[in-house]
Amino acid sequence: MNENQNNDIEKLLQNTADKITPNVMFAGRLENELKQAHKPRKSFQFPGLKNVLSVFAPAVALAAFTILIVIVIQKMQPDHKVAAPGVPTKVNPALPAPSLPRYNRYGMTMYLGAEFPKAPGTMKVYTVRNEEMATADSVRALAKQFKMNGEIYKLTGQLDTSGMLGSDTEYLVVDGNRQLHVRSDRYFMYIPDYVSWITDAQVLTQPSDGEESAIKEFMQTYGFTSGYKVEKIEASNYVAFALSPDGFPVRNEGFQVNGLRFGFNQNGISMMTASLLSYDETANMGIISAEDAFKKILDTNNKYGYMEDVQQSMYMMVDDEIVKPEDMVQWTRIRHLDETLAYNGWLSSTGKSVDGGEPFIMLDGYTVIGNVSDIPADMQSTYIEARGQFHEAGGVKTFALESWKTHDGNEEFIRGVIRREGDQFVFDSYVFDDSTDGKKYILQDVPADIPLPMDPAFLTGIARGDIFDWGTINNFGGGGGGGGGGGNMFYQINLSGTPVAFPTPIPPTPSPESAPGQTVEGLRGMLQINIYQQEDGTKLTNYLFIPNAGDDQQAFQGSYLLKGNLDDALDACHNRPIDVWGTIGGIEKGQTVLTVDRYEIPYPDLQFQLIGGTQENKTIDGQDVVLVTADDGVTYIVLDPYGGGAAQATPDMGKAPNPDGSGEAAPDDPNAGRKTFEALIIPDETLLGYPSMRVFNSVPEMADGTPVPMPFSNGEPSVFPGPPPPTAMTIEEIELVYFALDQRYPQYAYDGGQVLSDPFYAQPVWRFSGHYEDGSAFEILVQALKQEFLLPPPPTPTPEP
Amino acid sequence: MTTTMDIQIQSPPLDDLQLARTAREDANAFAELYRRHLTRVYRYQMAHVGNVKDAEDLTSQTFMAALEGIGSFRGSGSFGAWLMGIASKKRAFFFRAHRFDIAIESARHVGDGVPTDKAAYQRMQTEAVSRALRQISPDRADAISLTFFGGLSNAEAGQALGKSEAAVKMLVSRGLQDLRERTSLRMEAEQ
Repeated sequence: MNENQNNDIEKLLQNTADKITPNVMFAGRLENELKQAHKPRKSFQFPGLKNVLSVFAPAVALAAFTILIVIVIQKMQPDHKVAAPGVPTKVNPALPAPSLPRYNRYGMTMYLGAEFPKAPGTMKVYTVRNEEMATADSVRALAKQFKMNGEIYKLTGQLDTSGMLGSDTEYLVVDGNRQLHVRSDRYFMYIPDYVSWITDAQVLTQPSDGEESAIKEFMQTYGFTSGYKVEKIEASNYVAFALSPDGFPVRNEGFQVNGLRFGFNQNGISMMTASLLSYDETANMGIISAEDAFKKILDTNNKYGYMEDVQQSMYMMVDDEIVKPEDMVQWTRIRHLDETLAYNGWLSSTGKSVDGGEPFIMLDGYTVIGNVSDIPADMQSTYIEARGQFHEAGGVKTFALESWKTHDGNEEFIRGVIRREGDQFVFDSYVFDDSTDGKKYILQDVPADIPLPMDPAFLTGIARGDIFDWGTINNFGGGGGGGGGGGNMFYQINLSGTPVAFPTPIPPTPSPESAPGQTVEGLRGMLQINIYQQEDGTKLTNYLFIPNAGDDQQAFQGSYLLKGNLDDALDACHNRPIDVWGTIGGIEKGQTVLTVDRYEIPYPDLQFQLIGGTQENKTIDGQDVVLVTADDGVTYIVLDPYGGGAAQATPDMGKAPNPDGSGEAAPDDPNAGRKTFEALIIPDETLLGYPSMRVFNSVPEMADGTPVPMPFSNGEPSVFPGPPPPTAMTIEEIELVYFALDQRYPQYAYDGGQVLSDPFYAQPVWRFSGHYEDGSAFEILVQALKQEFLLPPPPTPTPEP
Repeated sequence: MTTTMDIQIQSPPLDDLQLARTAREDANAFAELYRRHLTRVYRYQMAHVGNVKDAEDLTSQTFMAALEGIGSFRGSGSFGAWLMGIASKKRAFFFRAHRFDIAIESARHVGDGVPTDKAAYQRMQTEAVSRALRQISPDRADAISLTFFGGLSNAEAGQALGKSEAAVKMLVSRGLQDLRERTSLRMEAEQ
């Protein structure tokens, strides 16, 4: 093997790697999600909802909108509904949530705001027919249905839209500004005006006659005339459900539906995507009641048989401030028509059409004409510098190309402040790091309605000397939105006719709640204060109380939300002991409440200390403990900071080896094991004969023995941007629907890769949907087939480390 | 001039080990680690799946798992190696669970009407690498992606994979040879 021969491969790999950069919108969104998902260690966990909680974010607009829908539908509903196609039961908005029946689910309060519909005895199970991939002839027929007469191209990923239908090969029909993308008889997408679709921001639709009328007219025009039910659905746009043969809506995972989905922008319908399953009836099977399905949701030991999704609203965090959807504004630059200009944009081309026509060439959605002879066929989307003119003739938008070359670099996305300076608009870019020096640019064609100064302003475009040639300006940074999956997988359907025994259920885990009504007198524990920065600028402070370890030294017994007789003096007691007198009872924000009659601060002057010392693990009286010998010679036993039980011994004794974090301390290194501990030493607190210290943080000392400064103090309360994680959810709608996996996107399990769902069937599910208290929408799909029609799950996969 | 927007590093330079330990109790410390290691995780996942949607999904899963497991990081190796070990497992589960070949999707997926991002610029090359990596032995592919895309040293990649430094070096060397001899990547490289 000659390694030198591989230099070119190495160079290619490195070159490829260097140019892969995560999208800043994604990066920012994930960081926010991680911050929200971060729980200080030793707080209550909601085991089945970790993934769900990670994506919570305010969705005020969606919540308000849902209430609007609820009000409308409520007026039409009798008191009690039998489950029937498309008639869900919904919450009565006049009832305040606390008055609704409530349940504890993983420590979260679940309010039941909808009645259980009566279940039909049986429902169908359908086999989903195989998808027929598109051919030139089938695309021609579909184009005719859409009254399109343009060329047909076969795409293999060239255009920006390629792949949106879940495959790397699809057909494209272009007729003026209109585009039709076709994957198969089942999945296709129609865009009335491509330029408008990619340049005009999508608008949040509201339930008005305007949108529904536009949809009905669209469907009438293009021949989608029967078997549909138009509805504004949660966390998406309007949908024309393609109903099952027996008249029920059909849903996919992740809030997706079977039918036609419509998006809108300022010009009306901006796009329509179709998912049109076809079925064959396979079986008629008994189903469980909605009430029994609800019990499955509450069963914390229930791992399978339901799916759960959360959809957050479009929101962004900018400098720890929430930008709500209704406050997001974006301006798209209007290009001057019929005048020669320099323009940077994304260029792509198809091959020849299926009928031998010239390739279709597109620059940021505009059809490119003119000097296109040197543009290769099948050109992947490439960022270029172009010179030419924008035209619009007969409503058709084109770019007449004079010359072009590949741009050496990427489109820029920068942040700064737009202000007026004399007769000019200027943009001061922010300094982010050493490579992004702040600079002043001149902006041209700034819209008159931009508020000045605009801070922050996020711009896309390209710098041309002192001018920033912007394409879009907005105040929120990126797209936002998104959702997250949770829950587990469905059981496979048992079509054999012979029931298969399921394993015996594991007895439920006792709830961490203490007995309501129990009084506590002088109970000592640690106070934890969490402060949440609200979107209106106010702060919400939560006081959590973690009792000390019991006689069994179990460190963490649970925590209580303190209410009642609290005052400002508590604010100085974050992560410090207090004694509490009061009564345990009730749940608020998912936490058991301890109503405080009075409290005492046993050590008002107690302060955190930074203690240098050497740590060792020992076994004393059969108990594994950690001892720290401080520089003053005193040996302490390390306690868990919350609860106060003996801290778990840790195998690592390494010091911080190098500034880049690499390497390890050598065993014979004289400084090995030396650390700086951020600790609280509570007077008279001892364990196993040693004075104790509660260690909140520890950092190894550097290679030269110098201590590393603590980056954050645990002595001060944590301030979290945004609202606190939701701890309550309300079911607002219960309906019986069919469910079929979206087979374009194969399902994988979160717990180890075992796929349990059968993607080939449409089966009945009970759909419970509603909102978390922060406005995030959720849906929980519970398999409705009786257990005798299901197969037990395979053995639990090996857990991830 | 490329923005880092919300991901600028604001805290003084601290080593990963220190941050990881602080991150057990402090969200900001974990966020700092996230900023430092996001690119390597994303590049690694991108190299394997070849499309933005799944790479972002796997990157999210990696950091969520790291957040949940941060208490188990003891610092016996580098944080980057520990993190990339999680990334490697997430990637492995992803491919084990996917019964179909992964479609190479467009970078444009963030929503209707939202302008494209710069990932599309490199899509073709990334796609070629991704497909080539799937044509060679998974162990060799993982060693290559951890070192070239995850930015790990051979020793760190060894920690992530549970192998010795020498073993990783051999895996990388043979993997490069495989890429040259058994895939179309040589043609890409020679262009």
